[in-house]
Amino acid sequence: MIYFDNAATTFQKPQSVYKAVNDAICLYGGNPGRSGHYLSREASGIIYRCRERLSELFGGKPEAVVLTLNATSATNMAMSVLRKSRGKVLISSFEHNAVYRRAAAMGNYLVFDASGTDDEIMRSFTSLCERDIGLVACIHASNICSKVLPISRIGAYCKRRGIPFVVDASQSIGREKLSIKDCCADAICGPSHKGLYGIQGCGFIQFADKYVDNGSLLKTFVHGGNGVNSLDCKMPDFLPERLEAGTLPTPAAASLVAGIEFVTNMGIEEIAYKESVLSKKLTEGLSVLRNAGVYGSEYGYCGTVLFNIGNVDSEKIADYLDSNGICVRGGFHCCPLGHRSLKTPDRGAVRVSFSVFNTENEVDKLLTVLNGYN
Amino acid sequence: MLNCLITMYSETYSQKAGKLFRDNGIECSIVKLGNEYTQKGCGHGIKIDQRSRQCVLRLLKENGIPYSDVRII
Repeated sequence: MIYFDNAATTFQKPQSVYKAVNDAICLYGGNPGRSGHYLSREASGIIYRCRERLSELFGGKPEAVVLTLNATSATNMAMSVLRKSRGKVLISSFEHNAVYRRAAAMGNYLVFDASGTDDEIMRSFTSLCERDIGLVACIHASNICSKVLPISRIGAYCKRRGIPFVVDASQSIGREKLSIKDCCADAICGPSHKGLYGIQGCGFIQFADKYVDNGSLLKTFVHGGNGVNSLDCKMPDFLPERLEAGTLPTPAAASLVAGIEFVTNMGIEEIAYKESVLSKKLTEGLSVLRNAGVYGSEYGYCGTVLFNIGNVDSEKIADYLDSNGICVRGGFHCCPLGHRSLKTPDRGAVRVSFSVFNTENEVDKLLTVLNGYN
Repeated sequence: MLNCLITMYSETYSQKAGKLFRDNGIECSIVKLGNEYTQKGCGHGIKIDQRSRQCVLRLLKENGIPYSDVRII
């Protein structure tokens, strides 16, 4: 089997991740932060190490790392607790539904055009900021093509105007360096199970340092037990426990510790380079394939290639590839805005997304199989 | 030997302080605390040798780690 659906979830994990998960379940299976016994304390240690490793990635503080169910929970939470009570929500034209649907549910949102150059994006963005904006939320990197937004420029603008800024880094973490200070973000959100090679079941928000001493600035979002001040009916007014309730995902957190170590040891630049080589190879191979069309190639090469074959429905192509032992994803990838920006047809498109474990031979096999479809 | 118990605001801060102390060569143990210490129900703290008390309080202050109480036990 060839796995090319890493933007959905990375399937092959480093061996250290499998071991970390096994150890977390078999050796440290207490509930973190709840009891005083050895197993609970060990589980607490894993949770804290996870916060530490994440904060090292983003240049933040470990106590400002909030753990969630997944990246969508993280973006939903961050957008809700940071948004100024009045003011519209401003998102980009490449947003994943994790941000788009949340913005739509908030009732009053605007979309800036992110399809052009960085300068064109900033012109569209700043023109909309003339209106009353209560929150800006956008991706760092697209989940359907190589589009990367100029989040440092966006964040600097937001900081000058006092607008809260949430970054959905689900697709860029592990491939692009990201500093919460450099991009002036109030929150960076992401998942455990994509570019950090952890397992499913955990997302996170790295909040800016200023919220550590001012946790009460954040509205609460989930309410329940967290092992702190149990007799109080209110959630604590400090991070991270203000925004965490219920049992934390210790095995996923353990996998994240191991995954971050793997990514750090390999090097983010090296990972990005390997994936770009595969993307370039595939894009060039598709360019000579009869009836094949690639979307978004003008944005360069990262780990994702989006294409179609003639007028065939993208799901049919995905099914055909699956029958040949190749895993890809057809359709709209929970990203209708992005597809609209790329002008894909109403049958969606096929997405190939790489990880550091994919090889050039696998790309050759894909091209051979696609040629057979033609 | 007298022990010193520092009541922390949360389990997260207990973990952060515990790592800081260990990195500075100070033995410590994170403990779960009851209402006697927290007045608000469940909580967490760090137990140290009370001879390290001045040093750990300085470390907590230098690193901006809040705590709510210190007592000899």
